[in-house]
Amino acid sequence: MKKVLYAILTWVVCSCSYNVAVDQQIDAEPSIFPDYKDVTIPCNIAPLNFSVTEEGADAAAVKVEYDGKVRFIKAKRGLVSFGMKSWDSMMEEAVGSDIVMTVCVKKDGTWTSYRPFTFSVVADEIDPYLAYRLIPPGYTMWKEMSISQRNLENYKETKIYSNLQGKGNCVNCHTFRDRDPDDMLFHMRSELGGTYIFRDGRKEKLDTKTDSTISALVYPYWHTSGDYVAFTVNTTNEVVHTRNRNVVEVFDEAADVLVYDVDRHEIVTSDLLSSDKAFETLPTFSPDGRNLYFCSSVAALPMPERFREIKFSLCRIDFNPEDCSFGTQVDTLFNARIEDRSVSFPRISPDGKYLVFALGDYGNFTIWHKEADLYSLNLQTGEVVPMTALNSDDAESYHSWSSNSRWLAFGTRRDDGLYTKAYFAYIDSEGNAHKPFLLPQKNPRRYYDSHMYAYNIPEFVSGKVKMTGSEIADFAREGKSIKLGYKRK
Amino acid sequence: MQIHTGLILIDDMEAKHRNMIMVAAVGILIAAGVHLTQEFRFYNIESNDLFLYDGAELWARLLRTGGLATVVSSFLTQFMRIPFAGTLIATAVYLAVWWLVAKVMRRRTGGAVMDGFSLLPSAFLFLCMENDYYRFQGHIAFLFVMAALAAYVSVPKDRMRYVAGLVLIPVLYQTAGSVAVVFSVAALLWEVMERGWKGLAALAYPAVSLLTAYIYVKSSLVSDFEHALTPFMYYDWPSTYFFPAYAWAMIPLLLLAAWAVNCLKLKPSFSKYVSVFGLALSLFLAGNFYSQVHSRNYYRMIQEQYWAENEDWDKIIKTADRRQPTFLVSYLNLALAHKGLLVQNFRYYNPQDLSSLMYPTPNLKTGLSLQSNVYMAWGYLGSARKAAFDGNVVTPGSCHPRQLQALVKMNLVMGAHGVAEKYISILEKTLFYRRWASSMRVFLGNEDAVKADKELGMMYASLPLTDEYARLDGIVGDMRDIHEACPSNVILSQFYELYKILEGAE
Repeated sequence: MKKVLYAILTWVVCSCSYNVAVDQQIDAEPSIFPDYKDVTIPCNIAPLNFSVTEEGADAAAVKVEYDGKVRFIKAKRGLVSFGMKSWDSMMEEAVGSDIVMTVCVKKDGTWTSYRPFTFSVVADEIDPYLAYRLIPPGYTMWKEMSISQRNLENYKETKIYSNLQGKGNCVNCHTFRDRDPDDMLFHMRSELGGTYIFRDGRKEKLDTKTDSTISALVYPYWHTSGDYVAFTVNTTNEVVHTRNRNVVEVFDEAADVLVYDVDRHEIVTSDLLSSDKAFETLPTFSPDGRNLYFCSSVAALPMPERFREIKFSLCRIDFNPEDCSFGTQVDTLFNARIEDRSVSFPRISPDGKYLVFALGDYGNFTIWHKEADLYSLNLQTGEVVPMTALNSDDAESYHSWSSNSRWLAFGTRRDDGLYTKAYFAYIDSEGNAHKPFLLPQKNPRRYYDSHMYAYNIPEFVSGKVKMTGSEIADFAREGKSIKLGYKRK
Repeated sequence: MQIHTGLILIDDMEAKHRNMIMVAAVGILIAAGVHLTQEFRFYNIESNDLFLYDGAELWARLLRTGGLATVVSSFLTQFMRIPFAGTLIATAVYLAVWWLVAKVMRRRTGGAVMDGFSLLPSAFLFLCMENDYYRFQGHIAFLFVMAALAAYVSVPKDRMRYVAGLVLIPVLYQTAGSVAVVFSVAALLWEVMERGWKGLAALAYPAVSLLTAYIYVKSSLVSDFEHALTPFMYYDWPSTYFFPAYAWAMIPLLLLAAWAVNCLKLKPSFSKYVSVFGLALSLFLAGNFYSQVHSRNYYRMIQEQYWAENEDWDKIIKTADRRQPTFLVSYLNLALAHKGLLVQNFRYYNPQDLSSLMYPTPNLKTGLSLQSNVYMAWGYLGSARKAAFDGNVVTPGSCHPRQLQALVKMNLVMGAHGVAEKYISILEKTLFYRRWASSMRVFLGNEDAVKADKELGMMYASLPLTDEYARLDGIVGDMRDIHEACPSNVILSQFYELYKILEGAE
């Protein structure tokens, strides 16, 4: 009886498994979307499904080899889909090693196998959530935009807040304190306008425009302690190119950096951060909270006529969290004027070793600059290197670090030149960037082909933001605005 | 046997035929009215959305609140680009709603006395179309609710009907949206009328609909309670919504009226006149409100847009009014330029100042379409591409087929082939734009083919020789750059010449 059962079981298993008899091998890379060839991935990432996009293929399959195991996955309409459970067990077994993928394509009755590629699975986990704003990539007109979050361990995306829950107004600049989902802030503009801060279960709505500042608060970065947030104030405009591969320019006519004291409801700045002779913008605190990094350029007016002269350097000033005071001198870490380039979005790894920034030809709105790439500054040696492995011919721009300093999420327009997508790159212990991979989707080709939004400001989050859009909307409607004080030190 | 039941007199075959002829005549009258008043609105509605033949996309839409109504609406509106299709579809919806409302009322009154009044909801639905932000989905959702109500009242057993009501409300909420509230109120009234005090158990219906709305809002599936409980859900922009609200209110009001008619025990011969009066009142209200809310200028704008997009320049010129307002002259100027008549005919039409050459339209769907269409014809591609992109974004379904087509062309000319391919892929999933989209693939990665094409080649040649920021030197400066790059661009040349003349005059 046992033998019969065993025979039946074997027959069932054999009949369910799929195999391909390859007729020929060629030494060419297979065409797949997304390009997941030879990428380094975290062991807790969602399955990296991909489509075989070889022209004229009648059928396709992938041979998967890891840890001495071999199996074939048949592509359905070109889509290679790993089941969630089998992917998880594969990740568990392959951690620290490579999974070898060989794409096989059937054309005219002949199966051809292509040059194998690998998924290198590392034990360094990626933060489980990514928060981003979904917005049509024109930035001036929208109907719906949302701050959304995506579970990186599966495909589930949820909205933290959609502007349709308010008055259809712009929502922007979401940021978290140390990737903590419970400490978040973002801005709403026009109706229900204000900066919304959620911290330690406390909700606040701030009216951040003061008589002493040129605008409401803009680009934020939260101090590790949670007690301060660095912001900018800017007068921003946009202009269209008549003939340029960069479609649009976003420029400031004035920009200053200041720090918001969360408990005192007061914004503080200094002449070194708010000068009429310079544009200061895009601040970021060091992980130890003792330094404030920002970008600074000599002011040039009128705009946009002189916009190409705007070259932001990477600067640093001491910051004393005990009394919210600033140092007396500004250090220039990367002199953009000498390099004839312009720095934006400095972001420091939580371990304090590296500072990654975007570098374009001028200005600081690098997502509209196809030449913009990510660069890494070694904070111990001062060496600046381009992150060649993760840069492309198109724009690389906003980026954020994972909690363990091993993953970098960044926005790039490499795929179609307009709709910014979120990519992830592994940064090894030597600071080397590895080939990045696109945010996985169940059916990436179909999803991204019809997706009409850009992934704006991809920020790692260490857990799910539990506050619902409905709660935020209720608070936006009912909460009273707090006016801010202003101090110049 | 002879039964007198108001409008429909069931007597013999001859009477049946007479009634059928009468219903057909009213149907034709409605269709004619709809066509005369809304023909170009249907073309405009067609551009509000794209129905993509893509399982995943359809499934995603179905899962949204009111998803089934959205999908059905989107499927139907794709045909509205065909002449008369919009009229037929809308008329079919109005007649179906009328028939379903009459069916419910007949069950209440046992006769056809309310048949004429049953047209009132359709009359108000017809008026909803005058608001550009109203979505046709609202019509379909209302139809769903009336079908559900007609089915509900036909369930003979009280307990079974009660359970059906409780189940139908959340199902309707998910498939049709906030209009499920109408069902809950109408079903409650029905039960009270049918069963007296016992019917008050149906108070659970509004409670269930409120609870469902509450859950949807708190789960962020619907943005707020205004969307969750009112016709606001079927609008694309904050707007007044009294006409759909009237249509909604008509259902409980008609039920109350039917109950009153039952109490009055009207004579069958009198019932017929009541019904005819109801019909006349419905048509009168539709006509009267229409004349009050109809914007001739806006309608003219979407007429011109349709003709411009179909390159029917003669129609625009022939139907133009010499004294038309400034914002209506932009398409006329374009038509005249296409005929090579702009410079010599410009002074024939009012107004004749600089602003009327290309009126600065508001950044809404129609205005952005105008900017995109005119600027693209000039070869002013940087601004045209931005207007087309923004016009696409503010379109209710976020996919405006003709703006997507424009974006494909302009991105091909400006070397942004990646994004052009994205839009081509989307249009290839449609029924009516599939072939055009596929024909554009030949230009991908092939600049020589772009240059060689008559239309794209002219745009390519019109790109300024050097890059500038648009409007830095005023729009005339940009026109000068285009003119210098491509003197053979006859559309631009005429506008440029006039701009110079008018600017000098001012």
